[in-house]
Amino acid sequence: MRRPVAIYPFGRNLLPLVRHFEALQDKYSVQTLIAPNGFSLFERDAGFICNCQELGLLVSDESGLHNKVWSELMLYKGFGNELVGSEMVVRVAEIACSLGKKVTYFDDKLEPIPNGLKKLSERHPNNIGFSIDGDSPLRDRRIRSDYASIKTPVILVGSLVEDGSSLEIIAGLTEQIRLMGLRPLVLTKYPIGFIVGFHCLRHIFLDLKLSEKEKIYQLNLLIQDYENTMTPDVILLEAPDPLMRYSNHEPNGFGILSYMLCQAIRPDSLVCSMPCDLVTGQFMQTISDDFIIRYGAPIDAVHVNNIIIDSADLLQSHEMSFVHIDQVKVQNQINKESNSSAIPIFNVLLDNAAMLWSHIYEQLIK
Amino acid sequence: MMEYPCIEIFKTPNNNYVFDANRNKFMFISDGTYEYLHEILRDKSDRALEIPEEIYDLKSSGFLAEKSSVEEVRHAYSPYLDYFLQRKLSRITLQLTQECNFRCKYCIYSEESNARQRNHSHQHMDWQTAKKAVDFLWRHSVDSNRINIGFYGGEPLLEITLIKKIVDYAKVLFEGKKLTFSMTTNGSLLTDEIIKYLEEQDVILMISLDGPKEINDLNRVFANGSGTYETVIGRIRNLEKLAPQYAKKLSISMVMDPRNDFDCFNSICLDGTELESLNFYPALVDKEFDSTSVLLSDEYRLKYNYQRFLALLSFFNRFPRNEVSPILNRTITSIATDCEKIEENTGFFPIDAPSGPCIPGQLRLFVNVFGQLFPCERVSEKSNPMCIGTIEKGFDTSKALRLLNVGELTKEACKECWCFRYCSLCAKKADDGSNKLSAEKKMSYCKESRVAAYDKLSIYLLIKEAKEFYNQQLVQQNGGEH
Repeated sequence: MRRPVAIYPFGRNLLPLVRHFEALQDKYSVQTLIAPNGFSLFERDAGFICNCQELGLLVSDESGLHNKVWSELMLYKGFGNELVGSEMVVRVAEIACSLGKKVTYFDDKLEPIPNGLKKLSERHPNNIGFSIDGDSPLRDRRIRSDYASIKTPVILVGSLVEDGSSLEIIAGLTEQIRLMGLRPLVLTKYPIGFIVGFHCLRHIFLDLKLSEKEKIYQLNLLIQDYENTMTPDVILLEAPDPLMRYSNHEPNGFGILSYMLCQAIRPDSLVCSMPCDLVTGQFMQTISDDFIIRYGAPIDAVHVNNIIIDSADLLQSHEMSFVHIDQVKVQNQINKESNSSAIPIFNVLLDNAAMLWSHIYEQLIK
Repeated sequence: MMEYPCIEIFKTPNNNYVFDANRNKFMFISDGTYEYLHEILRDKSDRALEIPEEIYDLKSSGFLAEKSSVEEVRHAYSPYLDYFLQRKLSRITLQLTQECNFRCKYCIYSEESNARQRNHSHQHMDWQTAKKAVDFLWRHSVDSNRINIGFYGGEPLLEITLIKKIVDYAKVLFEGKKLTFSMTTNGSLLTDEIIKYLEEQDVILMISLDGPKEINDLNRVFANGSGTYETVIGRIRNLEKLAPQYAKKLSISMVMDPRNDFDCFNSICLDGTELESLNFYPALVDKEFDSTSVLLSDEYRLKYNYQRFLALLSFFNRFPRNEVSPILNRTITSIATDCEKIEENTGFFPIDAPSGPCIPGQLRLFVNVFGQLFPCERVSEKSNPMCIGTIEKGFDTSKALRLLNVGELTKEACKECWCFRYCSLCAKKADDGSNKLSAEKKMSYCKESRVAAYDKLSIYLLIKEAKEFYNQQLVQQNGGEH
């Protein structure tokens, strides 16, 4: 019997998790999605946030906290919703507690747990829980063994811009891999998916006591530990930052963290998510050649993401922002570019990454 | 004779250049080649000229193509316009009232000038219209993280009660996004209470002031004809006293009528008072709706150029910055900042469009008192082509698309123009008051746009050359360090 849950604040970075929630775990069932007013989602289907297929779940405002169909609130702080302040998170938790609901708090480890929430948990110790990365085999340990190659096949999934699409690919591939009866080890950028069995490397990247060299070492050791203890059939890695510099106006992370990760664990396959209008045969090949040097693997497959970068906003604000187009336009681009591209192009939203996995599987077998 | 579309020549004190717009590249050229191109491009000579060897070299390297790489003039976002309008609005400007307690002579709403724009009236936005406009923004902004609501008039502070209602409503509606408010005001109604309120809400405030009293009061007058300077400057001083931190963020919009002496405008920025520290946003008086030209006096032009020279020296730390016109300091700094943009620009694509138009409505949607939608507050509200919908019926995407693709009107000329990537002409410049956008009207502004772009690129070249040709002087000036 699944426990009915609500999620707050529902934003675009949580969409992949919500879409695959039921398939990836068997303890919970999402009944209600609650978003702050400003997200412009009230009474709209959850898929609207990224202009993709409907999920059949309407998004509610805070009135959804009073909905009796759920008993536990999953409260997310951060994960791309940085403008949802602590006071909003605490306010929502307070309402949930006052209604006798359980609250589980997740954060992306960029900031400490809000004081208001700590105080609330003292008043409601049985209602509030904190989800932390407690199952990392090497957590709080120092280097204890040697750097070594990973024997399990590794698939790196990254994106050209910070848009959440790599998690969509990861979630789809996980579903497909599990459907084949295989066991994936999934390591994501944010600690967003513990609840569906994903793990995260973020605590190493955020550890200020470690030098860059030590971080690479620790990443390698941690993944070795996972490999030894979990004996996965395949490792799915989400790139920790966008894979390349976009422009001088928005350097876009430079792919430094992804480079470090690939020094720690060399990928056997690389899947790249790209904004729709950048998906052209020549461009894909050019960056694939670059990635061989940068990340040790060419692009094996491209997922066409339904975003268009707002270049006027980029010039004015030096911030990357984008608009979501519909899937018809994405499919048109795939049809247009597929024949002239040596790199296979997919849209994982259409088939839950089934064709993508089939392609990668064949490549890995070879 | 050889054809040379898409190129322009530049001469700095140190080098000659040819700019190939097809590839967005500058190349050094010799004096002889410069003279040759000058004769062809500037003098339009038709006499048989000997073609310099350098020209052949450039051509063999893929430069100086005989035709433009642009095959079709169409904006890259044309297929995506609807998505931008439906999902990524981030800013609206609300015309709260058409009433104003000033009667500035150049005002776009003035009865004396700008006949093609509407006039002042007693029309004002009611709460229902304002609420619908804010709701409209909410419905069309799912892909925007930042939201700005601007208050505009007439004089918006005549509607302070409505402003407060809108602010309260929007803060609830947009919780979870970065919400800011801004206002352009004549400043005369800034009471203590209003100042405190605006500070509390951190409203981005821009006050219009055109210079010292003798200049400001020539144009900016109350309805009874008396000057407004003393009132406005008094309000600004009071704002600085009541809310000193907030006052530091205040901007001054300065409309310059260049028939006056440039130093007069400048004097208010260098008058030794707190005004100096304010952010001045200068603009030339707008005569477009009047179909007349902006005239420049010699005093304006010569002194502007002198200050521009000083600002360049100041940029390289060779003249005290505080003794130079902040207006020109800002201009030069802005061009220096834009240097990277110039280098990041690409050459022409087969399907391409001149720069200039924004995505109409997406960048700064203007909602007038009746709930009609316009690309921004600068266009004529009487113009049919400029009205891109209503808050009731939504966007008329086909009209917005025509504004986005205003380049199509003049596609043959644009394709071969070196200024294609640096053009500043949007659809407003093609609005002649008729029911259709006018190619002829747009072309009448081409020279102005090219002159501005030429000036910008010349300074860009000079800034780039500085380290190469004046390295020693720069090192000395900075105490041995760059």
